[in-house]
Amino acid sequence: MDRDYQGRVILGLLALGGIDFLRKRLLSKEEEKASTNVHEAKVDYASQLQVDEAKVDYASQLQVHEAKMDYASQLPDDVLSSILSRMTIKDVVKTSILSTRWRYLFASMPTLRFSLDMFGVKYLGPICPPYDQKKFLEVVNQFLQLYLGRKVVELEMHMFIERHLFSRKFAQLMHSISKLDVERLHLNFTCEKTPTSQDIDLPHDAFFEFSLELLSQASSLKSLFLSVCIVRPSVGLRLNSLKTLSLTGVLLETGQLEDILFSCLNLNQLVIKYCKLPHKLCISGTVTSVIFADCGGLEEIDLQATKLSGFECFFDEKVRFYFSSVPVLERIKISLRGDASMPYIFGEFPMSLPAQVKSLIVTACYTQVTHFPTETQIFRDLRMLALLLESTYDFDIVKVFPILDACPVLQYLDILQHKTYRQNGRGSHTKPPLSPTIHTELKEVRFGGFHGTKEETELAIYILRSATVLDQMFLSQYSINPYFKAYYGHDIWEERERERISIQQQLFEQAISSNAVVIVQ
Amino acid sequence: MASSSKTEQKKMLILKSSEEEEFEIEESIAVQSGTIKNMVEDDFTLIPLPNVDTETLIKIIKYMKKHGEKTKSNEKDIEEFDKEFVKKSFTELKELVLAANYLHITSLIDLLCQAFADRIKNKSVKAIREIFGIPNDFTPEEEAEVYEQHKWAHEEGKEHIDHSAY
Repeated sequence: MDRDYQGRVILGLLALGGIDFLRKRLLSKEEEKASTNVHEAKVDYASQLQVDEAKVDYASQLQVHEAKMDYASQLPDDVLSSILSRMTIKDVVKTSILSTRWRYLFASMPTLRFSLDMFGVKYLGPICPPYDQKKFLEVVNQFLQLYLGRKVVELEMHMFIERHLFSRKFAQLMHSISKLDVERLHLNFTCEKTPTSQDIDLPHDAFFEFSLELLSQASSLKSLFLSVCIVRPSVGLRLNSLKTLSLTGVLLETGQLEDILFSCLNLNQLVIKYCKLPHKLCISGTVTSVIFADCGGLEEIDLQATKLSGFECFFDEKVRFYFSSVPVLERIKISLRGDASMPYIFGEFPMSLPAQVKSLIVTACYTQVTHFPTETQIFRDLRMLALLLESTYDFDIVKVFPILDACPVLQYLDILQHKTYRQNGRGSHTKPPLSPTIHTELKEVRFGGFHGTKEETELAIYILRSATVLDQMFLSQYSINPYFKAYYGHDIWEERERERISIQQQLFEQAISSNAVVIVQ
Repeated sequence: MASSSKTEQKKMLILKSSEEEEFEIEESIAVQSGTIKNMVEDDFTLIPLPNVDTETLIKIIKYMKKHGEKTKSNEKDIEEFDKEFVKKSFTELKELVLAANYLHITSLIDLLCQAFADRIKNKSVKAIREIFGIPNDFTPEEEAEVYEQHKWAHEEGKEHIDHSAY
């Protein structure tokens, strides 16, 4: 097969411009081998031509020859590597059989992703049988042997592993991985590509116990992502290169997170998502940013990380916050489930809030907003407040007016309303309009999801009549940056341009500040 | 149209293909190419590109022009352009990626590599050989060895394998 093949290639090349052309294109060893076949091809030339001429006309033959040229040979290794890195491991490994040049080409990809997809197998759910686990571990181990001495920047592994059966094989695997100088490591102990919030409800012994000691030799590791497992810290272990740690669906027991943080002396970012937390947590160490997303079990949290500047949390229920030592904490984003959340955030919470916190984002949804407190504690130093209200049904937005008095030095206020259906002044009893307060600092107000309803307008008027130095009030039907990006729907003012202008005018006239600009969009 | 007192003259460069044809292009657009950028920093305004033929250079200039006017609003437009841009024959793609590699235009290299990857994804070894025209230079013993080494990859799983070359 191949001789003929090459014969035609040479034929085509000769036709295109002579031996010189051929020589110029011969770059690698493989082609040098091919050149010795030129003479053989020449010998065949005459007989070939006769046969071919009989079948096809010369012009189209030229095209066919072009198509049969080895393109890949002209592409440099790093381009081929880039192409391979965009394919699945399975497709990539298959290329090893294309030619001698391709045999080890695949063993130079900077990113590796291993999952059951490699075997064309799919399971519905996170768990798979031991047979698949064993095969997976063996294949990956063997694969990584070909990468010895090379560097892999990012490695992802998605596989359920039963701790009683494969701890040793897994340890072997981690040993190989450590030698690769990996910078970003994702270990997801389920068969799914992305862990879900249900994974945390798996039975306890489905959680693989991952010992951090297995990473003791991974001296280049900057980011570690662990999913659906138990993380066992190790006394004396130091992961000095680690900057980001992300735990998803992890079962955290008392004291574990503290020990983990103690081992990571240069950690910047900590993300804890869908995890089951112990009752008490203490965040210390070097972290500058901490995010808790959708976690349950926590009752009390103490923040002692002296470099912490940003803290974000979304907890299942009310949590007691202690800010023991966070001298540079400036930004907080908080979301708590449950009816007690609003009264808590605008009640007990500000009492323990350290003075330097400048910006607070509060997210509330569904029925939480109906429990908005009528009197609130004071946020003495807060400069920026954002209230993100989701799926508010028929919550009367006017009810948030107490925030003005609660935040005497507030300069920036964002209110974002994301309703599930539009309310057109329904259920509006004739209440006396709110009498304005006096707020001497408020400069900018942005109102997202503004549809011009009676309640929304009333709130806007209240603010305009209270804020003595207001520069701008921006009322948009859309979401406001940077909170939610998606907005679906047509322009509500499309056929109501006059109404929009009228509302804008009405609001503008109410403004007590002489500088105020009002924009309704 | 009122002209400002400070008229900004856009600096132009001349790119010369391997066939000695010259093309004028704004410097701000041309420096998407790392190679050209370096030459500009060394004060070149006539940039000879002996490795890039005219046809390929025209396409590359078209790409750079389109990507040079990237704003927040025309992202979709550029995506469409990219999609159409890679609808070319293998020969053209190959010439383009060699040129883009030489010129160090990262976004174009990525776009072309992705296009190659998309064409050979899920294809059988036989099909990839045909597409790229790669001759098999293994001895039968070597070939068997390589096959055994990665047997699991060659075993057809439950997914569909595409044997077509196009």
